[in-house]
Amino acid sequence: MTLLNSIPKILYKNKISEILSEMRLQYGVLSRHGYIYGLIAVDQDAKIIAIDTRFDKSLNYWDLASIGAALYGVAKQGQDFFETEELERGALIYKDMQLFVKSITQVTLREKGERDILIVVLADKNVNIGLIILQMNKFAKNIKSLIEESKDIRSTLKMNEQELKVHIKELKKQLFSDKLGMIS
Amino acid sequence: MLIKSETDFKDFEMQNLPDLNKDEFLIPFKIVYWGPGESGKTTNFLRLKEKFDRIKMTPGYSIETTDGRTLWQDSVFLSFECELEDNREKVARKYRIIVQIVTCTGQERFLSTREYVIDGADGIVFVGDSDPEKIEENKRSFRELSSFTDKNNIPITVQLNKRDIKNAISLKVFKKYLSLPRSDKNPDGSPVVYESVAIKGENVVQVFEDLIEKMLYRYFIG
Repeated sequence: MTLLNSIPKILYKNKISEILSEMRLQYGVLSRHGYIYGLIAVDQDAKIIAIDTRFDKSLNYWDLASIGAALYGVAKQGQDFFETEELERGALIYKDMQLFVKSITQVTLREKGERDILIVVLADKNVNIGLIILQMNKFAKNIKSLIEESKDIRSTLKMNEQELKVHIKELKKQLFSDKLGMIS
Repeated sequence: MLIKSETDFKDFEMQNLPDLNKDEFLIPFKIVYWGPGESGKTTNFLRLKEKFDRIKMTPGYSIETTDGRTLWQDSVFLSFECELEDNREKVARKYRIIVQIVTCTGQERFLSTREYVIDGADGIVFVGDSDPEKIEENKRSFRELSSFTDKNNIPITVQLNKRDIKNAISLKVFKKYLSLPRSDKNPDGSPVVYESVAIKGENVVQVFEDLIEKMLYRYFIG
C-alpha cells in the first residue's frame, strides 16, 4: 500500500476515500489492465473532498484537483460557446496518460446554491475509462449522500478563499506535527 | 528594424479597424495580469473588455470558481491598428497588433498553474493591492513574478490598485516592499507605479497602453 505521509489524513481517511478505493479495486477486478495513478473527488472550485487511499505518491493532489476542475471549467465554457447538450465528461489524452473529469452529482449548499461534484482520474493509456465511468455512476448516489450527511465536508465546500487558505494551513500544520510525532 | 528611438512612438494610436488587411504587418502580443489574490486582475480584465468591446476578436472567457475567483485564467483577444514611422526613411507603416489579455489566478492553492499561464508572455501588469494587510502578499507575488521574468527581461508595468480604500498603504511603502525605484518616473518617462481604482476604470487603460508601448519598444529595439 502506498504511504500517504505527505497528505493530510482527513483527505484519505473518510468514507468517500473508501468509495474511491473501492472503485479502483472493482475496476482492477473487472479489467486487470492498466494503472490508475489517482482518483480524487473535488467540487467544481477544486476544493478537495477525498482522494483514494492508493493515490500515487509521485502525484501532487492539489495539482490534479486544480487541473481537473479547470478542465471541467473549460469544458463547461465550451458548452456555452457551442450551445451543446449537457456535458458528459472532459478528457485530456497524452501519449502515455489520460486525464478524465466527470461530474457525478450535484449537492445543494445552504446560501451557496448548487455545486457540481467531480471525480478526476489520472491513469495510464491502457486503462479502460468506460469501466471507470461505470463505477462512477454506480457510486454517485453514495457519494452524494455522504457529502450531504457530512457537516465537515459541507463546511469545507462553503468556505471562501480566505477561509480555505486558513483551513489548508491548518491541514499542513497537522501533517507536520504528525511527522514530528513519528520522529520522536 | 524600423524604429530607432522611443520618440518614434509619439504617433502611436489605437483605432478600431475590424478587418484584417494583407498589407499590414501583424504583431501578436500576450499580456498577463499578475498579482496576489483579489487584487483586481479580473476587474482590470473586465474593464478592458468593456472599453475595447468593439475590437474584441473573441467573446473571451473566464474559468472561475462559484465565488467568482479565477480558477485558471480569463482570456480575450483584441485587435488594434497602429501606425509607426521609420525615422530614416520617413515612411509610416501600418501594423495590426493582436493582443491576448490573460489574467492568472491569484489563489495560492492554484500556484502551480500560474507558471503555465505566464508562459509566452510579452508583457506583464503587476496588480498590487492597497490593503495594508496584503503588503506581504504583494511582496511574495512580485518576487514570484520576478523569478519567472528576470531571465528574459519582459516589460512589467506596476499598478497599485484599490487606491480608494480608507487605509490604503502609501506609495512609498509599497515601492519599498517591492524594491522599486524611489523616483516617480522611469527613465522613459512612464510612472514607476500607476495608482488605480480598477473597479471605477481609473487608470486601467493608461496602464494597458503604457505596457503596449513598452512591448513595442522591446519588439523593435530589443
